[in-house]
Formats: sequence, C-alpha cells, structure tokens
Amino acid sequence: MTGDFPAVCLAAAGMQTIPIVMLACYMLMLLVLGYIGFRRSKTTEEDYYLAGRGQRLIVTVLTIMATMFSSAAMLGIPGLIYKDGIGFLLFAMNLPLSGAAVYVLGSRIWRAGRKRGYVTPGDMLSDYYGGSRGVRILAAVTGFLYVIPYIVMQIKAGGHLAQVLFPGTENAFQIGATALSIVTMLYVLIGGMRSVAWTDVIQGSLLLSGMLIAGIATVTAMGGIGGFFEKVNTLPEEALTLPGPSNAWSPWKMLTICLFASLGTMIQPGQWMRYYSAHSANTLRRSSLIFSIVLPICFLFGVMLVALGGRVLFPPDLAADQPHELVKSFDQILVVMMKEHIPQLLGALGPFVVSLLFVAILAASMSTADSNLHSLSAVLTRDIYDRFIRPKSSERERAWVGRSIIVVATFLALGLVQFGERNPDFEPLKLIAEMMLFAIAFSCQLLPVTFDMLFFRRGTKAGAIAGISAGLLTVLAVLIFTKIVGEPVSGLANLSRLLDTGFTGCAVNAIVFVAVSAVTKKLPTNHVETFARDFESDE
Amino acid sequence: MEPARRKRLATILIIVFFAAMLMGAGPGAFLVNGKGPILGMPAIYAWVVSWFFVQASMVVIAYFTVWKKR
Repeated sequence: MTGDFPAVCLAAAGMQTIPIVMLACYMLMLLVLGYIGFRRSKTTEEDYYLAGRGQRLIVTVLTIMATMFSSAAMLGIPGLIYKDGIGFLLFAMNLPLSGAAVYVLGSRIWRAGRKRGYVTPGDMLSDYYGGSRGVRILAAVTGFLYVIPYIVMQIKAGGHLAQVLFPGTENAFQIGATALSIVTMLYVLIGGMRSVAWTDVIQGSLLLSGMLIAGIATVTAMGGIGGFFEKVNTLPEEALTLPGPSNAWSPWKMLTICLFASLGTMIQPGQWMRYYSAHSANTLRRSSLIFSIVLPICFLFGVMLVALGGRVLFPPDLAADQPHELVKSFDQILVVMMKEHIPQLLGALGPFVVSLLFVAILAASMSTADSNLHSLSAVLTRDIYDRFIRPKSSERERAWVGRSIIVVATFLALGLVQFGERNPDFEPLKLIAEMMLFAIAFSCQLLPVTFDMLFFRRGTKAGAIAGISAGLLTVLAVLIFTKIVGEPVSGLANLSRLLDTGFTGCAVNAIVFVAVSAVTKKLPTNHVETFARDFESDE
Repeated sequence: MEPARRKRLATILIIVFFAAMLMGAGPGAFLVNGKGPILGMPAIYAWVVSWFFVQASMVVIAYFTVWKKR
C-alpha cells in the first residue's frame, strides 16, 4: 500500500479545500441563474409563478424530478435503511406510480389550468366545487402543512452536510443550514419559477448522477458486484428481512406508503404548479415515461446500495438506538461513506468525486426547498391574501407579498431546524425520512377531492370541506399522539405502525367525503360537464 | 387505436401495474421474506428490482399505446 501513499496524502489535502471551492462555485452559479431568470422575466403574476406556462421537456422533467427527490432521497432514506435494514427499500416501488401520475393526473390538470388560467391547486379545486371559499382555505392549509416540514428537512440536510465537511468547526450545523436557506431564498426571491426551474435543471442532473455515482463507488469500494452482495448477505437476518430490527416496516405499511405517498407527493402544490407550467400535455407524457424509469434506477442501483454497504462497514448500535461511533447521525451515512471510502478508492481524483457528491446532496435539498418556498408563496398570496385579506390588491402588491412570504417561511423553517437541534429528543424533527412521511400524509388529504374532480365528479362542496377537514384532523391526531405527547396513545401508535398515516387520514377523509356528498346538494350538471370536457379535451 | 380496444388495454395495464405493486411492495414480499439470496442478492432486494421492471414495462406500453394523442 506504500505506493498509494502520495495519492492518499493528496486526497487528504484535497478533501480540505476542493469541496469548499466546488460548493462555493455551485452556490454562486445558482445566484447567477437566479439573476438571469429575473432579467428574462415579465412582471406578471403568471410569469413569476408559472414561467409563462411554456416549459419544455428537459426543464419540465428535471424540475419535476428534482422537486420530488429531496434530501430525503440522498440522506433520509439511506439513513432509514442504514438504521432499520432492507425493509424500507420497498419504498422504491412508489416511484413508477409517481411517474405515471405525472401524465395521468398532470395532463388533466394542465388542460383545465391552461383553459381557465389557474395558478394554484386551490384555484382549480375551489372553482370546481362551486367557488367554495372553504375548499380554497383548506387547500392552502394542506399546502402549508406539507411545505413547512419539507423545507425544514432540506435545511437540516445542509446542516448535516456542513457537520461532516467541517468536523472541527464550531456551529458547523448552524452555518450550513443558514447558508443553504439564504442562497435558496435569494434566487427564489429574485427570479420566481423561471429561476427555480432553471436551477432545478442543474440540480436535477447533479442529483441523478450523484445517486448513481454513489452506488457505483460503494459497490466498487466493496469488491465489485459479487463482493458487495457477499458482504451484504453477511448482515444479521433481521437487517435483510421484514419488518426489520425496529419492527417498523411491515409489507402492509410499505404498500400503503407506496400507494399514498407517491400520489400525495405528486399533487403537492409545487408539483401541481409544474403541471400548469408545462408547455403541453405531450411534454407531461414524455416526462412521465422518463421519470418512471430513470428515478427508480437511480434509487435502486444508487443510494439504496450505499445504505446497505454502510450497514456492513459502519454497523449501528441498535440496542442503544445509535449509529456507529464514526457516524454522527443515521441521516449522515451516505456522506460518511463517501468521505471515508471514495478518496482511498480514486486517489487524487477522489476529492473531486466526493465534492461532486456533496454538491449533489446540496442540490437535492435546494431543488426541493426552492420549489416548496415558491409554491407556498403562490398559495398564500393567491388563496389567502388576494381572496380574504385584500381582494383589490394590485399585481405589484401581490408580488411583494409573495416575496415577503418567501422570507418569512425561510426564517420560520430555519427557526424550527435550530429548535430541533437544541431539543434532539423532539420526535417530529428527529429523522428526515419520518418528517417526509408526515409532510406527505398532509398533502395526501387532497387526493379524494382531486380524484373526484378529475375522474368521478360525484362529490359536493360540503362533502369536500368535511372530507379534507376530517383527513387533516386525523393526521394531526396521529402526529400529536404518537410523536409529540410523551406517552403515546397505544391504539394510535399501533395503527401508525401497521399502516401509513397518510393512508389512515385518506381513508377517514374518503368515507366522510362520500357520506356527506350523498346527503348534500349536488353541483350543477352543466358546471360538472363543462369541467369534464376541459379535463379530457385534446390539445 | 379504437376507443374500446384502448379502454381494454388500459384496464389490463392498470391491473398488472397494481398487481406488481401488491407483489413487490405489499404482502407479496412475504413469499421471499427470510429466504436465502436470489442470484447472490438479498431476496427482498432481488424481488423489488424484478417487480419494478414489471411496473416500468406497463408504463412504457401505456406511453406507446393508451397515452398517445387521440
């Protein structure tokens, strides 16, 4: 091994500076793209929120994928597999369904959105349910409950990355989290959807290649495909079977997560607005195909393998519910794997590849944070401020309100991240992947009304309001009694262990929606038929 | 493609797609849970990868048939 010594020394030296230089260049590039987006934009609300409804294939598919794949994909899910074994790998099966939803749901949303000039999910849902203010408010609340935890997750990932990159630095977590928040906030503020989508193209490409490179590097470092799986097969049986060491991931729970998390994610405000901003339904059809194939491949043959390899090389201490001593938190396993193994494997080239992977993690976090900040701004401005606070406000005033919301939401999320760091036992902010599942559980509550509007058209205004309210309250109850209150209510704890919380909320939501719709006033037939024609019309 | 044929094909694709979901991510996984490696890979991993390919095939067929512009 002495022949490798200079390369290892060079790699060690490079590990100090190259990641910092590459991360700085990356951040600078995002700000430049944000500025270019600003220069190309018009002053209208539609342009700021939907980039003029003209996004072509590459931008559409990469922005949809980048919005979907967040820090949860790069840190949270590998962290969960590292902690709980192979059980959570079944989560990959949600991706082809999410991909199919881009066309099956997205094309109908696109058609009606273009024809009727909608900008937010609340615009379409409230218009369909007879101009209902209640449906609009509930759509906005659902969006808010989804978006804030999702932004918190992304900021937290920036902190985790900084902790591993600058191990000796005091407050590395706070510095990383703050830097990610401020840069993201700035380019969303100045350029709107155009900047968000353009940066998503870069970020989407980085994160897809990063996921695959991470998998390939891990397999190579562990002796090639044969050697890798040989080592993985030596893991304790509980790590390679269901429901895993913590008894958390039964196939029933994974099935309900795959069915509802996928669809819930694809109708969250950020994705919904991406359907509106596509150039055509055909753009969404092609995006759907690419998404359904490319994302699961990057997941199954990329980061999933890193997590399994991490469990072999850095076995966690499950009795104490702690990761390996070299891994500060379960969510950091991918970063630690890359930092520990790639430099030795690739010598002088190692620091560049590791830096690229760090940038990819940052890209995954920022691409989701930017989309969510941007959509939250649209939802609160159009669905709340414009409708209920100052209905006669000018477009310019609304643009400034939207930008103020972005600033407030960024600092609110940053505050929650700092609170979580100071209170490490506060369950809801503990693990990235668990936060992701709760956020999606909220966005799932628009599924019954969305499916009714797009396909069945039997529901009523009162049914929609009652159903969404019941679903949101159910998810909140599960969250409060299983994660926040010290002594969990055993029935709810068992239920959340057996089934996905989003599914449970959705089931209550759908039952209430159908029951109330059966006894309340139907929507006018001609109104429903006009919508049906708009959803199904050819381009 | 005629509407009736398109509808029949769409129904078949949806059924196979969700059957793959049930097998790969749902109770179908019990069939290989605790079994030894398949082709050298952990059984659950090989199982999920196989059913993913079934789902992806359904999306590809839908793309070239039922999702085509009417």
